[in-house]
Amino acid sequence: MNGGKNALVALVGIPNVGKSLIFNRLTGGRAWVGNWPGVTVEKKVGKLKINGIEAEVVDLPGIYSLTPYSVDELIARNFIVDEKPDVVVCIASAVNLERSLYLAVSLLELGANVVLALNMIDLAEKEGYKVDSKKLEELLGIPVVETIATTGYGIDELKNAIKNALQEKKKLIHTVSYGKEVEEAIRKLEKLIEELTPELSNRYPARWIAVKLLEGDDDIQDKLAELPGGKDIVVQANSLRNDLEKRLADLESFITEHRYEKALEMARAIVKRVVTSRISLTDAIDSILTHKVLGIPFALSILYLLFRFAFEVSPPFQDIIDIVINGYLHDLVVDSTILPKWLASLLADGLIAGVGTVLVFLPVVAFFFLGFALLEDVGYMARIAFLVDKLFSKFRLPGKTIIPLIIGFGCNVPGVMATRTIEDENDRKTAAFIAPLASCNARLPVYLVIAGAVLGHSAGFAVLSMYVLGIVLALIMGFVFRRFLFKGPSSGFIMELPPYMKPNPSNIAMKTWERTKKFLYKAGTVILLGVVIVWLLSVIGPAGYLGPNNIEESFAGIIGRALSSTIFKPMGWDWRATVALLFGFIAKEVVVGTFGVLYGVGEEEESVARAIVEHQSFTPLTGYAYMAFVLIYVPCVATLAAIRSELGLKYAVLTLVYEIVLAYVVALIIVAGGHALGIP
Amino acid sequence: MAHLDIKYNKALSPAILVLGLAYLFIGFVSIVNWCIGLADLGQQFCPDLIPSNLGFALVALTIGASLIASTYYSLRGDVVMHLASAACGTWLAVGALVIQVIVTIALVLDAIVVGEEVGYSIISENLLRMDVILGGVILPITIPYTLMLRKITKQSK
Repeated sequence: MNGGKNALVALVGIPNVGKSLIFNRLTGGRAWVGNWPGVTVEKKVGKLKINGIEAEVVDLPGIYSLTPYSVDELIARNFIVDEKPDVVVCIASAVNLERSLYLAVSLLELGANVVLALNMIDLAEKEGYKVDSKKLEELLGIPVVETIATTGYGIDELKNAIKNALQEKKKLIHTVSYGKEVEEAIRKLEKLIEELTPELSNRYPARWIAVKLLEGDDDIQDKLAELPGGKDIVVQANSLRNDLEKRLADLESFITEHRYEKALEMARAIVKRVVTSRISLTDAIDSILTHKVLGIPFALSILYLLFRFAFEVSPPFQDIIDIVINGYLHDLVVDSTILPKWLASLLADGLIAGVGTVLVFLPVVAFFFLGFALLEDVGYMARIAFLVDKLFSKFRLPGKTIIPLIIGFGCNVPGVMATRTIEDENDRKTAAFIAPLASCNARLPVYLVIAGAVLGHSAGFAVLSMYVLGIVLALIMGFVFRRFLFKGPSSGFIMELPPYMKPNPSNIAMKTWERTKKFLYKAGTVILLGVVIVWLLSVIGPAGYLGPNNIEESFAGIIGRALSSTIFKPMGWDWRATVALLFGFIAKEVVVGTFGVLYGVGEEEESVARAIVEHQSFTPLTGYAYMAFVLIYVPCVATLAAIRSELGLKYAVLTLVYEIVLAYVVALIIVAGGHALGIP
Repeated sequence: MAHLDIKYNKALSPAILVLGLAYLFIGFVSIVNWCIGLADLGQQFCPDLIPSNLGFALVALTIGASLIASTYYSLRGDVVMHLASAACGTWLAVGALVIQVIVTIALVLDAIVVGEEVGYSIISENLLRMDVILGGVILPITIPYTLMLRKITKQSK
């Protein structure tokens, strides 16, 4: 800390402990959001002012320990070790004290200057517990402040404790003894580390490095191996570990158990049950909402209502945006006599239409995130993940993957964005990759038109089968990605569920705003680019500028004909179907409209279906294959932009490629399989 | 007070059973209507009151199942499960009612925005539905069940 200025404060805590709320309380909700270097885990930074002292507050990912089992845990540990925050505020849950104290003990071993915020003290009292925070302060030797993040209780005291901790010198406190044999090995290694790698022992506590080496921590071993003399320490540590494991079995588990016993011992010493409780309100509600029979229907019903809220409440706001941008603004440019025709078309049909495409999505995204944040704040989202965790774990996916998939049935954009609630980075990337396979609302008109035109009485079942196919493919692809592309342990089963809490309006508003803002800023740029490219292809041909009504002669038409006579020849789709697929890249709704323009019958779904029958564009088999292709191929440009914003450009391109390949393979299998069965 | 709660509970339990059966029935009819619409088999049963929508059917069946389960737990003497099941079912029913009312308001707003006439049909088509009607009936029952559940979880301490 530089004379009390530019101090660095890190917030750390187990998931669902109320960390974000405390962050908002400390910083007044003013934060800037970015990503941690090299990964797509969100980094939130804010400013804290306490009596003239200004500190930068960093919200670290929710973690259970400092052993790097996940990217989040590695980020948190590396931040504390490398950035050396002046104060680490460990937010503990008074209703889940053992796990929180385990994390606090780990932080103290790391030599951090810790202040403990004992949050949810009101819930603990409701559950019938009395937590003695003064005794905990004595046991840990660090300041402990009781807080209730939802009401703001204790926040001023916490600010004062942070201020005091910033002004005091940090103390290195050892809290866990691992038994005679292990302690002897720790001492030997500690001495060796101080002698051979002083540059490392100046940065990290030697005792902590020694414990990590005995635990077999790969990250620390790698760091040591890079230093002169470090390899000798690693060899010595491995030898000591092997010796100890002959007597104590797995040493990592042994050390973890000792640390956990210490946390448990402290929890027992400070928690008193003042009333005997048989069942809490949370337990009573969970007996139904996580019930083996009623739980899933409740989850699907609640998500259905969320879905209705987002999609059926947004139309007036969408229409206002549509009227202003695609109506007034568009007409203003088109009617302009100053602009040349091509420029007016670029502005009206390219840029303004592009902006319209982005902004029309905005109310849906905002309402969706509003409902989602409400369910998250109440504590219900964790229950949904819990319900499907067992099934999804068979596909190496965490239960939380269900949320983007279900949301994706409405619109893939919020579906992809909902993946950010998945803590593990590999799990999140996989979920974002498979979320577009959920059949969104925009695909439905395409199914209805094609199935209605060529599949007769089987139309309904054909449409239904698209939804099933989407989920089956999502699970299979999820398994494949998790097995080969995003390797590593899954975040696994959810160990405990947070208690239900009253929603906090300011927290919900802040979450909704942050998520919506990110969509608007980042998705907008890519969508604009995509729309302009497609516009160019549709108005320009070998003869130059053709205007918006000559698609057949444009480059889009030429590409469509070339593709239908080569790559798509086995599927038997004509050039119109192929051009419609190209335009479906903007938004899947555009597919039906493009058919209408190409058949010259307008955009009415019934007229398009009749035209398809008259032109014999599809047989039942090729029509069904086309529906499957529309389900799987390239998510719309907005979804792709959302993937880019969540995972980066590389993964957006990878999604584009894998979905086209998968769509092609599935469509080919349908056509070839049908022909093999004698279906024309 | 505890005696009063028991009296309330005895009076409300048959109502919960009847409402549970009603929700199961409309959920079932909604699925039948959806199948009729899908296969183009002709006239649906009261399509204005019971929409042919799988989401609507899912919500109605879940509420119905939860309320029937509440009666089952009541007969078994499991008071906490009885109250929790009834409370969760009624909350979902009220949630469905509230969403439908918000959707109707949005439709009225939308009609104003696009310059269409705000006719009575918008309100009648969207509010004269079984989820709104039954939701209105269940609304007063939600309060005593929520209070009883809160009370019993406090009493059990």
